[in-house]
Amino acid sequence: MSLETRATPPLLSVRDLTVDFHTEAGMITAVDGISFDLHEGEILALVGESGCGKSATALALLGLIANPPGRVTGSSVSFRGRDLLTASESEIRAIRGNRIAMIFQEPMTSLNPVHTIGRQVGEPLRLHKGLSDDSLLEKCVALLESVNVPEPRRRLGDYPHQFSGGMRQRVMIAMGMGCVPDIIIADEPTTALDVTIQAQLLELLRSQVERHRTALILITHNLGIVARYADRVNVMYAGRIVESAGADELYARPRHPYTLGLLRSVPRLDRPAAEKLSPIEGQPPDALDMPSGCSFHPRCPFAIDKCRAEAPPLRQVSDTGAAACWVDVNG
Amino acid sequence: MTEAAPAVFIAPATSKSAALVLLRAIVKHRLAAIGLVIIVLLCLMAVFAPLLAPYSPYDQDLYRVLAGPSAEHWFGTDNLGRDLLSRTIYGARVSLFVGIGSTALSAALGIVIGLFAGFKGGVVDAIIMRITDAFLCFPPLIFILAMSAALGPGLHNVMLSFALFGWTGFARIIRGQVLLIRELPFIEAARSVGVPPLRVMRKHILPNTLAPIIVAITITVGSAILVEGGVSFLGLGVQPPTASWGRELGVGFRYLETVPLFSIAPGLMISLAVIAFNFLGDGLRDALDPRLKGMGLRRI
Repeated sequence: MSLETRATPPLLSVRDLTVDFHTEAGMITAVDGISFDLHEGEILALVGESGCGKSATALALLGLIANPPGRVTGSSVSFRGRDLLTASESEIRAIRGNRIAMIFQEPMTSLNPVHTIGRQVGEPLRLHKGLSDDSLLEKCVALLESVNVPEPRRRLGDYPHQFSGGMRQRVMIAMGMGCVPDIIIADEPTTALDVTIQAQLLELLRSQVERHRTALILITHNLGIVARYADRVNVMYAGRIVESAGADELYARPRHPYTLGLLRSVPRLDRPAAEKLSPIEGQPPDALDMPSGCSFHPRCPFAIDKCRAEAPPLRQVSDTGAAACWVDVNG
Repeated sequence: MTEAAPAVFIAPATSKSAALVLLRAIVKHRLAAIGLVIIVLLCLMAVFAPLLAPYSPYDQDLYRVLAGPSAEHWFGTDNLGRDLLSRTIYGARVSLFVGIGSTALSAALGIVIGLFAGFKGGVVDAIIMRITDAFLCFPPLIFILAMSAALGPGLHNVMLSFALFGWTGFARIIRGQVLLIRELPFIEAARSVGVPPLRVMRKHILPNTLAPIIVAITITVGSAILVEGGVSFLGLGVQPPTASWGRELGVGFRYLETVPLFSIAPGLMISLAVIAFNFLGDGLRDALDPRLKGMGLRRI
């Protein structure tokens, strides 16, 4: 599906996006010059361990990195021909929640406890579409209905604490979809929920984005989710994209040792049950003390001398895949 | 975890309004209920003073000055022959007006300044907080007396002086709350929807900071009544012939041996009012606290 859309220019085009945080201990580079494209209707997964820069990327796209301590730089983040890096605060604000919406990972704490669900679902509509009173109410009812919240009309007057975690995340999805954005960024949308509800919500999210041809950036560390829902996958490690490929291709033939390690560390139904899981040895690097060369080399079983000396660039390894590795494990 | 966790703090699903939940908590807390009843009675007394008082508080009967309690004058009369019971009843008006008025002024000022400090952070925050520190170094009564003396006697000046000092406490509480709340995910979520900063402050942060402020307000009303009493006692507050508890206490003090009720009655009223507001404040704190602990911060 992602391949068919290649002909059109990308909806979002990120070039050399860098996010630094200046802390008392020193400068931390959370995102280190990443580039990627997102096409209309595409589901792009950002995968990686905690602290690899996934969430910082998402927040940077929306201009939500607090400065200080954070600083966002880069060549361009072009969204529909507009560069978000140079856009003014009010321009970005007009895009947030309207053209690009975000769904956060903590449904329990991402809703304001003092406002009713209706007010919060209606907020983007009131801000960006200028709806009010009856039209706003009807729209909110329809939105809650579309995310399968039972008795939507009555529940609009309830407060977040009267909702379960799964229901709250449905509300968050309804909030995100309210203005029918071009892009939804879902930051670990199901991490805080139990497994049965995770699947329901991801199906819901997918049906919503498919219906409106909304592009979805799915941030997760769960490779199972990626395999099932993503069109394209960007694997991130220590602030960089180390491999980028179509989801099927990535699973069939991972080209970066880190991707390979990730895939080997989760159980798969298509492999013999007796096969042992092999975790990736070691710890993610200390952001204040990055290894020389390729930041993965201390943990990499394939590392050669060149890896220690020089960081590999992300280079094309197949028609649609790219990897940042000197070795190219499955090449 | 997803389904059950919040149940602990949930108010009964039937009660829709926050005020009702709060009221229920107060009623359960015995001292708070007593405080609330006393406050309501005092307010009624102030409002219906003309109906309740047997005489006008200003009518002098110079043939019966400093009379002891009798059937006609339950509390006796003052040095100008005015009915002490009536003056005590009318005194509630001044005390409650000053108490509530100066607290409202302080709270309004403190909330705005505290919100600003907490939201802006950095240098602005540091400057405002050092100013509050400087204010808090003064003993409150001395400061307010000095201010009242500088501004001249009168009710409004007492209120103004109180507010000029009183905002610091509110500002500190709000600022602390803002620092806590602005880092919570729902604030980031609000910003990600495109809510402008001022609106985030007003609609998303402010309502979440109010629980401790409500407690502070009730307790401050008590101390404002006390301060008005002190200032009027020393002659800087309300001016004659207006009846105020503090002023009555001050004048009656001289006749303590002849007409003890002249000063004891207003004195007891001041104590009663202050204790009632403190009871209510304590009760409110107990009622609101469990929600502030844990993941709390729920609507009150």
